Amino acid sequence: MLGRVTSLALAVLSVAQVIGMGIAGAAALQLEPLTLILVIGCVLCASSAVFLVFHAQVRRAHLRRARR
Amino acid sequence: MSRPGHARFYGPAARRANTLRARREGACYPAAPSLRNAGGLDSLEVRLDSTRTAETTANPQAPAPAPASGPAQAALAAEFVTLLRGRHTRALFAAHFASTAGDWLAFMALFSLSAFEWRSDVHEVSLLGIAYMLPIALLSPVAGVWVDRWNLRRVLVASDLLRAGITLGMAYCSHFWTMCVLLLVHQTVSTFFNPAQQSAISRLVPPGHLLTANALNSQAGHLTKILGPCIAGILVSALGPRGCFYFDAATFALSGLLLATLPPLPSLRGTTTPARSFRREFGDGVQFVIRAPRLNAALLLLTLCLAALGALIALLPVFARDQLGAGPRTMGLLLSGLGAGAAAGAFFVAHSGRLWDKMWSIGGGTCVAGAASLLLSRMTHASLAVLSTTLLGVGVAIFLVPA
Repeated sequence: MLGRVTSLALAVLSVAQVIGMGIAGAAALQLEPLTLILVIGCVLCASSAVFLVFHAQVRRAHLRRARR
Repeated sequence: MSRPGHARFYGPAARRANTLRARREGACYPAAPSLRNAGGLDSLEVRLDSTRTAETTANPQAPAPAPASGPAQAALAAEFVTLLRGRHTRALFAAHFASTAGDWLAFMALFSLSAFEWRSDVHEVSLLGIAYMLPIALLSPVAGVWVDRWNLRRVLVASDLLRAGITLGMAYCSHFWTMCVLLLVHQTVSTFFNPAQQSAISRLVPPGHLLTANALNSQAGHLTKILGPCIAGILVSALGPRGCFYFDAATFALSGLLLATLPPLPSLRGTTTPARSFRREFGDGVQFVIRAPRLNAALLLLTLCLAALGALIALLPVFARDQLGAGPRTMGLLLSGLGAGAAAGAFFVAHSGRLWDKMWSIGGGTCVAGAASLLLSRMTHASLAVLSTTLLGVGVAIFLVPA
């Protein structure tokens, strides 16, 4: 099963890269490359912050449940 | 093999239960508990398994399993050496390394060529990127099924020689759209090479060494992903894009010659896993991912990160040309920085990653990559931009290696 999940995940991640390149190509018609890199940086920082907060909450909930 | 969350329960009674259940089910998962017929020891086992799983997830900071001891590591190293002494396995690993490193080299040389020689825009560079990734995305999940129906040695040798020819064609190509088509065909051939190489390992290596061989193969693959951009960057700056194509074609031809020394590996038609089993395994895998919220979130973040990375790869050559006023050599240095950062990040995660939860690494690595992108967008000097791409490489490795 792990192999299948890994294949699925790899395919999804390759599609994600294709989509990312496509978006960059399309967005470059409207925005400067410099602005696009800035936007990418902001998106990555914001999404990592959301992920870290979510992970901290899930972890805290698990610890609370384990203490009970 | 046991499914995650359904680990086997050890002890004399459980051994009896496992045997009975294996007889009763007799399918792909001989030791998996049947939830429909759960009762007695089975239900106890399911409860204990779920408790064990809950314990594992309840304490994400639980200490990781102790690393292998000195004698165990020495035995593993000895097994690696034994494997590499075998003529056939050595040829397979060398071909694998040449193939994956060659893919990187062709990709980076193409980007340099399109950005600096043809003065392409971002959307043209991104089209090249799409031509590079699309066959992998569409064909890689099913390529293995087709490969098992063909003679593996022929697949391996033919795909290497084909790629050598295509790469030589790239060296002489002067039209953007012809290059896109050549790249698409090159990557389609590569999609068949990789599963054929993995399948060849399982048929050439003795069963006792298979685990180590797979580990070695996987490590070689990871090493190329990390060192690939670094090597490609140095070669692009040293040889120029067209020189890289010649070098690449030579490595593919050499790899094909090495693989021609393998014994014949006839097709496995009729002995492959039935489609029903594939669907069931796939469905189980998807269900497992859906039920785990943390895994869902990590996959979502990883997808976003790789989309962003794809966009950055498409933007980098044009950024280097227009913002930094750079040429192919500086572009090569930017890529080398990315590769060196990735190598440093992977080293850091390998040595210190056990100290904290992988999820922190995934989130933290993304944050570092984001900060590096922000820095890169402010850079107007090539050396500082190289530092930013190095930091970007560190961030990418920190989130990609644990993921």
